[in-house]
Amino acid sequence: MRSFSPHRVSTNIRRRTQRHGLISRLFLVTLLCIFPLGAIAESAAGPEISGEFRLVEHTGRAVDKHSYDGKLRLVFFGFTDCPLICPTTMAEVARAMRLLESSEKQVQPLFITIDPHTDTIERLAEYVPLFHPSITGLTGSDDQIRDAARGFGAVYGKGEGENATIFHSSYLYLMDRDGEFLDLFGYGTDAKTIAAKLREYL
Amino acid sequence: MLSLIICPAWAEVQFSDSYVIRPPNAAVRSAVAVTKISNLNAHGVDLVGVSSPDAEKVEYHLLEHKNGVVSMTAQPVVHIEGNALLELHEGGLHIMLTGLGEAFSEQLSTEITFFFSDGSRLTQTFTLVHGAPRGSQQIDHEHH
Repeated sequence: MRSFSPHRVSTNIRRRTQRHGLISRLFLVTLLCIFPLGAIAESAAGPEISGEFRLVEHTGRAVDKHSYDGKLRLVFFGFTDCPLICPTTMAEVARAMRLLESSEKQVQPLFITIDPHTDTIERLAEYVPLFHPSITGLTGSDDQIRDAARGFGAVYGKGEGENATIFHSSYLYLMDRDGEFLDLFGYGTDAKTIAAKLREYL
Repeated sequence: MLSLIICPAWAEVQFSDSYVIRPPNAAVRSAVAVTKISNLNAHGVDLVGVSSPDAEKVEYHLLEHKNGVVSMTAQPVVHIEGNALLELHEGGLHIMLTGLGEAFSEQLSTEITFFFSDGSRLTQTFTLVHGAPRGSQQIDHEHH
């Protein structure tokens, strides 16, 4: 299990986080706790990224971390009603897959929903294939989603009330062929950069 | 006798650079609309609602993105100071449309109606355009 440390972060993240003044365990610990009063925060247990999960694919198949052994994975936490961050990231992932051409078979993109009540198997089956046929949508129970988020150090949640804040991690995680953490991309990383990083491991 | 002329709030409000970021495919049922709103009144105006015939729900949303976490909060009222320009953009305060039909991503434009606190309203045409991730623009800047 790899921990989240400065040396594992891609250049884009390093520059951005240096500009923000930190990239450390303290940064992830801070994310665990600080959200508005009334927020129903689902937080990671710590900065270690285990990549563990037990979820259900949009095909109905039950899967876990080792169901994709032998393939690199690109993992993103989002929801299908998200208007910008999620579809934009999925579109860049899809472009990156196309840039890999025949090598795309060595990569498994995974879209893990943070809203399992809306993002059912049927909804995910409508959503993910239109970006790229190889993208797999994953859903599950509230506990399974929470555990999966913990496995990636991802955070998500929704406050209470009519104008509640919805929040979620925006990173795209790169995992190796055994599901262990390799690197991550910040929101806005373009397809060429993603594909170039993937090629380093193909 | 002087006659009192009451002008609706929208009379001195101008919209420019208005567009909707086109959803990448028919499965995406939400979209972001952006625009620049110039309030030429001497006094501030309040936008208290927004709607579109193509969306089940339209709201003003504030998006914040910090340290790898994105958060979105609905804003029931948007205030524009007198003689001021307010820019709604995808990386901050913007208009969020949800419950879009499957065919929306193929449309050329949509109508968005803005409701003011004085009861007046103004409808604008927003063109659908392809967008790029805002972050990618930041990354390009870092490489200069």
